[in-house]
Amino acid sequence: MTVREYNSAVDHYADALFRFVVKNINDSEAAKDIMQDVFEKVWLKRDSIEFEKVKSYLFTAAYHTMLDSIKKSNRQEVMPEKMAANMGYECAENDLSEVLEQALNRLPEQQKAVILLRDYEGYSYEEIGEITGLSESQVKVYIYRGRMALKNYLVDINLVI
Amino acid sequence: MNISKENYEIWFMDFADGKLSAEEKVSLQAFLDLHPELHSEFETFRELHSITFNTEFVQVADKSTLKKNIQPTPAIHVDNYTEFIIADMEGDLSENEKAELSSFIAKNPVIKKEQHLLRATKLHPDKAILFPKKNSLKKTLIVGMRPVIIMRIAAAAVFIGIIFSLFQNSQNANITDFNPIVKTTLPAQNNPENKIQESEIEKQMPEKEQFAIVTKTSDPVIKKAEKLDGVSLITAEPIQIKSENIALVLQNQKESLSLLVTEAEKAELVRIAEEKTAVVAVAELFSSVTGSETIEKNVKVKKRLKAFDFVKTGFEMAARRENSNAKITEHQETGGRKKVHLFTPFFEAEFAMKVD
Repeated sequence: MTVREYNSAVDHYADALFRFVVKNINDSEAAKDIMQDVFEKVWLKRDSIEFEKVKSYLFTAAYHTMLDSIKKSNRQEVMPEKMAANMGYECAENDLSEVLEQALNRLPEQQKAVILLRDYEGYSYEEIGEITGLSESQVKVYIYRGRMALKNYLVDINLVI
Repeated sequence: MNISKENYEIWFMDFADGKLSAEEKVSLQAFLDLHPELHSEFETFRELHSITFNTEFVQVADKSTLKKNIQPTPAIHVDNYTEFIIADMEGDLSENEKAELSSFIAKNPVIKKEQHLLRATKLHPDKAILFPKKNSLKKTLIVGMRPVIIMRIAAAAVFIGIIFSLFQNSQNANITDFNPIVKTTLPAQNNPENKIQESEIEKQMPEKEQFAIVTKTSDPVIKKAEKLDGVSLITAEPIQIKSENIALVLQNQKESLSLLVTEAEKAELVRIAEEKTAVVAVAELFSSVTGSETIEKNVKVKKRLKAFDFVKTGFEMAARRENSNAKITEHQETGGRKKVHLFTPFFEAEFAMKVD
């Protein structure tokens, strides 16, 4: 991948990648750091990355960097309180996207990530498997379980759609 | 969790749901007493919540009720219909399965609500969320420094001298304030058959034909590159070069080049010089000896101090490679000229230019 292609990858994928990361970890500052790390990794390995595959590489690197970051900071333990303070109920009760975001943040990290990859980026089970290192069937199970959990959350809060 | 301005809505909701203990209700009341401005919101919330507290979805989720009333189809029944609905959303159903699901839902219209809810779980990216520092991720030309080739930076410094000398030979440009001086020297003890080889030129080029080579800058992109032990090049308007000139200089510099550059690299330099304009050739030859890959062309650089810093960085890298046997000196001369000098057991190089 040339410098020009690398810069083009920044133009094409930085926003989508940022959305993916920030929705996963709910911390835009940490997400920015992860973005820097991820693109730096891609930059360093640009010689061995084909431009056609850079998007997948970016999401793969982001996914693993994100999980590492979560492990290091024990973010999972602090998230529920943080989420409630940051975004929990600042929105209208009947705002579906906001409620879904609350529901999403209750999912286990891997379920959340695979659903975001599926819905935001339209990745196939196979592609998500490559990005996350999960088997295709694991991905499918996570997506199904995730959808059920999201749906149940909508039911639980008695949302009027 | 204590009630606060950040979380009071959760408390309002829990109150409406009857989830608050007596003690928590006291806390809520105390909070409302402290914040009368929230009274109307509390009332509104309670009213809204009581309206939205309908039972339809609760009924949908109540499988025990459903089990009594659901009419199964051959493959779909009360215990697996949600999986079928999700599979349908995900595009996992065959045509036959889709038809069966439609039939199942037609027989059990109450399922439509759940299908509606499941479909609502499809997430949509918020396009308003943008990465705010995209430019900080971008790179200009970065010369990645692998340890094995750091020494070649020194060669590059020499080559810059060569190319400047070519400018002198090939250009009759108008005089401006762009005044680089490059002196490269191969000490006699390392090149006994030749006397010290030296090329020194002072060259003036029109403003638009400046090129600069960048490093040591406050630009975050460049700073980041520096962390990688790399430097950046930016070139500007091209300058025509004559191929016979570079061939001549290469011939004259044969001994010193042989210490620093492979035959293949020399051939590549000649090829580049023949095909490219001089500024691009400078950048590309630097690139060829340092292992970088691309030249970003036609980028104007305003501060020619950067060119000086670039060469200096090249010298510093060469010095690091030579450890304690290398020395760098830097001088600010009168008339806004700066000079940096590198001495190693293998060669000396000097670069000076007007930076003010």
